[in-house]
Amino acid sequence: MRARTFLAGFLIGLAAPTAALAQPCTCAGEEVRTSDGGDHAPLTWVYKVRLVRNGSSDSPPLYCYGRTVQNHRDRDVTDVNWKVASFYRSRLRQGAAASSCAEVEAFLSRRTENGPLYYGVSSGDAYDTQVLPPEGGWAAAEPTRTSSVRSTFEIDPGEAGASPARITVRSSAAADGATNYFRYGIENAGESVVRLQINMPVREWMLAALPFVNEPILLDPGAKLDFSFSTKEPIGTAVATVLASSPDGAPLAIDSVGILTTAGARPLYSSEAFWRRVGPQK
Amino acid sequence: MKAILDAVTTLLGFLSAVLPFLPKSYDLFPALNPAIAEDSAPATSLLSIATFAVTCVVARRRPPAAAAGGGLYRLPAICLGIAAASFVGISLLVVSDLSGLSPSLISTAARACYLLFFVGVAGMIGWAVGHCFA
Repeated sequence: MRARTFLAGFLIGLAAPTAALAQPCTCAGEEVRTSDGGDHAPLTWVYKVRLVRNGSSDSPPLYCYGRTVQNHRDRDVTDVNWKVASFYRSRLRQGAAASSCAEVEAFLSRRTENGPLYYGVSSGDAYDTQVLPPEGGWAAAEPTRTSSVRSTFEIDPGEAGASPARITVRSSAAADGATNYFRYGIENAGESVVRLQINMPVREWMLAALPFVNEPILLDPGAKLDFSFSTKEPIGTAVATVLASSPDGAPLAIDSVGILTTAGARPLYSSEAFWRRVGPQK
Repeated sequence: MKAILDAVTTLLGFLSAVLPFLPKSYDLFPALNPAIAEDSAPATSLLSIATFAVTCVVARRRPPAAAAGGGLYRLPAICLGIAAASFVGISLLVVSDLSGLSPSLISTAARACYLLFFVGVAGMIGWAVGHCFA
């Protein structure tokens, strides 16, 4: 697979950067905190936290985490590696922005986390960033009564002339008596094919109903996939790590999305295992 | 005794396989974007252990006549050359202004150099083990 990655990278390098540029996603809600930086040579970054819905006695607040990295240079930038914001893109085209808007139901962390945003081949090419992540980090599953969460992000397929894949991950849960019904929707509103694997907290019996946890699923342009299951276990909220890859398996992006699952479930893989495929920061 | 030697060989082969993962802990290539190192680590690990096995077997089976003919150190020399060239390659990639080249090409070259560095090191270890236990 690595050999294919190398080959894909080489072919991408030869390809003319003529693809359509994506528009950054936007988070709804009241602005809580914005941090940004960069020097336009080549990148700028923005990290926004917005309060979508206040918490209640039953559930914590719902925040949307908007993360955008803009390439201001007239040439592509590779290996945009922003672990502290749970954000990785294998390539950022010239003049393009990569963005992600993830709704996560959890309290905000009380302290700012600092970490580098690497790009290119040298670790010296990095920006210091400050972000306010969800409390408990980018991977946690807590009981909740939230009904739905939604996250959107775009994936550059790395092919000449190809438009990005626009991915939306929705999850909802509804109670009927003692039974909770979980529904998941994964959409690709873009024009490129990608494979998506979502490392969310699950229990083993859920794997049959949620095949995207165990292995990547193919998302054709316009694809709308629905998954569901029911259980008497309580509803929980979590942050899932998403690995997007090309149809031949070359990693394209890593992102985080808020998702509903059963309380007390555990991720099938460590999020580090996902990051290891593209490189966690030191 | 043979069982002990086989165990040592296996252990060193294992070390060759885990060598590519060491930079994460020991900052072997601190100047390299961690994404490059970690992305390449699994493939590098597999190729390193394969190289270790091949060079180990070749060194153990090398006939004395070939060794006497001056070919004894050709294999480790090649491995050393690969490792050294790769190390220099990585160093050049991270410090040089390569704005004339495609960024993806530079990224691919960095991954290739990273992989070849550990393959070269594993080849030398494999040869040394095979030579000592021949």
